[in-house]
Amino acid sequence: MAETKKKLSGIVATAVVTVLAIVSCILYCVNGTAEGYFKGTNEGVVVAMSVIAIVCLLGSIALTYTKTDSKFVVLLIDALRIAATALLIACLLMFISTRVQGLGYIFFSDENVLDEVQTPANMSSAYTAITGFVFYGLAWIAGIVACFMGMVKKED
Amino acid sequence: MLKKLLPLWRGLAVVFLSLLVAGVMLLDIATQWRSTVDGFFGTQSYVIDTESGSRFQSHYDSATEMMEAAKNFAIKQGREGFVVMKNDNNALPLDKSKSIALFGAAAWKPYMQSAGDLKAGNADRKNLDEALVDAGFTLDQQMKDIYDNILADYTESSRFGNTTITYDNGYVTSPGDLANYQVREVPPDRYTDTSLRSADAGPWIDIPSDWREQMAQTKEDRIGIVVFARGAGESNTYKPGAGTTNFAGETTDKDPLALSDDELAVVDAAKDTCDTVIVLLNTGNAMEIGDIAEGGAHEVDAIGYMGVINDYQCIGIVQVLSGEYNATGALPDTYAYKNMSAPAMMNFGGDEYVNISEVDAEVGEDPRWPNEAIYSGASGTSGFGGSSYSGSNYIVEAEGIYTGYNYYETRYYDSIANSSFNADSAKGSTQGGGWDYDKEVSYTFGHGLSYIPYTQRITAISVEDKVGGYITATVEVTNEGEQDGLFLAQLYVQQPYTEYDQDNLVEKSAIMFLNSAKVEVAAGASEEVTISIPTKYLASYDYKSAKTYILDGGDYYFTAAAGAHEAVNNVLAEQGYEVDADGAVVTWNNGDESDPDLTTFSVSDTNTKITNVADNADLNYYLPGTVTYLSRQDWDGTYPINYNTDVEISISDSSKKDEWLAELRNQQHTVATNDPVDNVDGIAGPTFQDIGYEQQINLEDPFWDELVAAITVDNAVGAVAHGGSRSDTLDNINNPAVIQNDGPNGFNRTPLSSNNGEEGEDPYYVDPESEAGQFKVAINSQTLLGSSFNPDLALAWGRILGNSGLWTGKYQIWGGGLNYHRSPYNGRNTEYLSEDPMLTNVLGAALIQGSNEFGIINGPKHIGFNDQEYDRSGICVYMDEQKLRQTDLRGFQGAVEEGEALGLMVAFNRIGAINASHHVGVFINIVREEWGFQGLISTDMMNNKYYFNPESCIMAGITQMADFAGDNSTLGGAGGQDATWTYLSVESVSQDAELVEMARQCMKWQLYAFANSAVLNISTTFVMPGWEKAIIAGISVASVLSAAAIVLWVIAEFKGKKED
Repeated sequence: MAETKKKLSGIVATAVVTVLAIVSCILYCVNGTAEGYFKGTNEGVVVAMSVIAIVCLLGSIALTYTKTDSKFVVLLIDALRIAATALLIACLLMFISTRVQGLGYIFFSDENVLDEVQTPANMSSAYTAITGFVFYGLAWIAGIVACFMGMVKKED
Repeated sequence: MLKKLLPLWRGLAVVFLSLLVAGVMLLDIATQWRSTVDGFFGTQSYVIDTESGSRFQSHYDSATEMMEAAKNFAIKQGREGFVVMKNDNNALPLDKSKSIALFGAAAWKPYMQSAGDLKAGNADRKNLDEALVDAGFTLDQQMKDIYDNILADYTESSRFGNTTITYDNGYVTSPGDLANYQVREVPPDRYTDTSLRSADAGPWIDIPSDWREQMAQTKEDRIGIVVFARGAGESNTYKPGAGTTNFAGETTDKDPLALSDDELAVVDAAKDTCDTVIVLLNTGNAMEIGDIAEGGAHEVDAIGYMGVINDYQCIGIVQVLSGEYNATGALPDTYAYKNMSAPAMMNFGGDEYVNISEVDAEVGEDPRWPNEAIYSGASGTSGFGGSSYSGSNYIVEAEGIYTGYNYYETRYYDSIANSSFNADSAKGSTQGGGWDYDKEVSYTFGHGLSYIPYTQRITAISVEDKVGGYITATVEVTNEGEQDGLFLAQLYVQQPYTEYDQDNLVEKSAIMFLNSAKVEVAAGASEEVTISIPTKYLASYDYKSAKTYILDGGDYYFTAAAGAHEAVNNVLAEQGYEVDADGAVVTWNNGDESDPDLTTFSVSDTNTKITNVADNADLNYYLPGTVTYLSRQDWDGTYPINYNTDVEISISDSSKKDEWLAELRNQQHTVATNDPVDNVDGIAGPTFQDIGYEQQINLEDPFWDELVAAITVDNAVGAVAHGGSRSDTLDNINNPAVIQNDGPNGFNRTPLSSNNGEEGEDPYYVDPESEAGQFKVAINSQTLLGSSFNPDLALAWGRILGNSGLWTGKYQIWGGGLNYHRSPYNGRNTEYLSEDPMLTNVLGAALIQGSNEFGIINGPKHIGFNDQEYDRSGICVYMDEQKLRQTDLRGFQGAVEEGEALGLMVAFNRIGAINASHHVGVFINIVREEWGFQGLISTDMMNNKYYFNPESCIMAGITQMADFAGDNSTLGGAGGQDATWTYLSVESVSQDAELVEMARQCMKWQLYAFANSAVLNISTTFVMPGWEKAIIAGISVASVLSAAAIVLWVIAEFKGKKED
């Protein structure tokens, strides 16, 4: 019976995506709970999608260790990665959509109001959000790159 | 082959799928922010169809006419607003045979040309130096060289198309929020300091070390004009008292509004080098100028008030300086030697309750946010963001009605006429010893000198003693000079202060400004001018006994005078006291003093019974006996203490603790769970386009109920929870989207061509490349409007504003700041008119009338008690109900009742412990029922979801909660407001029929405002903009490509040969 042979580059790439996704999700959670402008503004669906994406990524890595040459398994591995990547871009855009008004307040209020709005807590909150955007964006791009790499190599 | 390309198909699948997801979500976000995206790309989603023969049309046939009218208005405003405060030694008008030496950074770069979002910023604007040169004056080259060096270094930034310039060696434009202010005037001993100019700013212009001596030798040929500025602005509050830093950055014992030692050194330099010295005050915050006034150590020949100028006002100011026109402006604020001498300054800034943690809600304690801990809100925080009720701080305005001249002139009167009132107590005296008017006030409210000698004498008065009645005074203005000119007549009254008043703490100012007018009078001639004011303003609010407005029995003394002090002296002289006054007084008697009229004005113009509605705005409501309000019957015993530092205000000590906590936690209305709504989805009926004349004039027409019945619960509640930048179309009623605009000086950053339709189709089309097309219309100056004392000028500005709205296609503006100046320290005083509610009242009424003529919804802001910017978001402002009704609200009352305003914006702060935007007493009982207001009301920026909540706003009659843009007048669904207030949903609010009925009522008011504006001139048609088409095309392409890639990937996986 043939078994799948792992392709290290694809697995490493997927692992990188997973780490980035985890960091992104943590940043999102921190942003919604730490003192500052965005405290209390998180939406559960973003966390849920992030967790699902992470589970998909971990699942795809785990499946490479199964001793099967089933094309369905291989397809499932790839499908999980594709789904995770699509979820990550969805998370990014939902994250942005829930923060754009607040960032508008913080950075684009009338000039005289800026001192009032740009408190240390609010600025920290804004920069955490922006950092979160960056990590979700990196996770998404890394996800795309990883999908161009195979995770298994079938042996005869 | 197919299998070999498997990684490619898989990769492309994820790329295209990602793009598909991104496209769908991007479309959702972009359409929520449609107006912003349109603004960014310069596209239009809603095309405005302007019908010919529409109800509202511009007075001007061309954009050029519109532009010229606006410029001429601004010049006239500078002319009429400029105040000659002091004029000795024939300093003014200026002698054209002499050169002008301009001293002070503001002389060359007057505020707000350098900074501020509120200036127009047109290319052909004129500063003071340019206006002087244009008028034929010669500027002294030495001073020009000096200030070329001083002002060479600056930073320039551009935001939203408006340029802000900050000069390294110029005045500070933003004082900060109770921060130490720097008076950054360069002292003369630094004029030769080459370090003032960096190499990057061009070569240093050589200044002789003996420049002062050289100029002194020719001083006879020179006039010195010294200009000092104080910046201002939103989010700024001057920090009263010592701590101001000088140019060198050293802390001084000076108040920020006092002239600094550096500034006084500049004055001295001017006096040394110029034959005549004139100081101009470039500010909206009354400064302490005793040093340069008569008898001051640095006394100058003349002092003028030039307010905060805009693009063209300097031209008008120079027309007065040169003597081309007579000086007719008057001070809208009292100039005290020490601003801290005002009793209002005993309670300013505010601080926290001693046990503010009582307000904190633990997790599970607030049923609206069961999973969150919400804290009271820390002192000094903005309230923008964070889990806070914004309810930690308070202030007690214990001075009652005695602000500005109402304090100084009343105490002066009592020091002469009522010896038992202890007016000469040391309380409130800043000069040591007993209180002495002459040592406290340098220039009073209404003061302004005329070049041409004239008299104003009241000759007759009629008082219609009934609701809806008017006081009409006839004032004879006599020109005693040898040239024709314009003159200002001011009408004042003294109401009786009776035993009833003293027993019931009904306070009366010893003199009260009523109204004013300007009149052209030929040399040597006299003209009669009629000045009217509604009689209701003669009544006073008795919050303790009658709990309504009363009109005391006794004598009412009417007089015309050039300022409040002259007026009170006229009255004193009439009453037999020996004072220096000879002005005429006409007395109207309202029966016996012991018999106050408790009924006539106990109903409003709308026939609504007037009674107390804000008992809980008084801190004594929660803690009886805590606050002693200032009463003139005992200046000594009732002079305010500081209720933040001199006593401990503890919520726990209140027998109404639970009620108090609920107010501070912003729990004004709780959504019911047992009163289901019958009509959730709306009942199809008429649409907005069906509105006819009958509906425009009558909000009681059944049509309106049918119209709003068509609005879904989702829309009715969702639309109130949204607004600020725009109001959106609602399902079922086909109303147009209405874009909102700011601000008090006109449409900010708005050129006449800003909203062009198609050339040839849009009657207000303006070539964007033309001079008129690029002309920006925000050319007003609120400070100079106030000092003009001319309701006709306010009417003219309202009309210019209205016309500019039609030309720019903007039909709603927050265009009139009508808060009163409780103190000189509010950084936003430049947006408001005066310390006097009645001057604000009459100017505001005229301003709104003018805008209304052109169908522009001009909403005054920020009602009420935006008395300071510090902690503005949530500070509790406690007061008694007489102050509530007769100070800040009175300023807005004229705009609503006489001006028939269709819009209002609410202040950030609380009234008492209640968020002003949640205050049913103020907005339902007073504004809507008593005043008959039928328009839209907006919150200020909805900066904190724990502070503002839709259910409480709705019940207070607020029709929109301001946010940034967003096409999302829905409670649920994509972009719905339930994402913010998670405890609200269509299902939950549908269990509160009273709330939904009120939400529909709010929509009725809002749509009624639109129906009575130029909004009804137009219909808006949705046209998909290019960016939306591009996104949809992208989604389509991504859909096809992702499907193809997925298919190829799956086929490759199953059908192809091995991958490697």
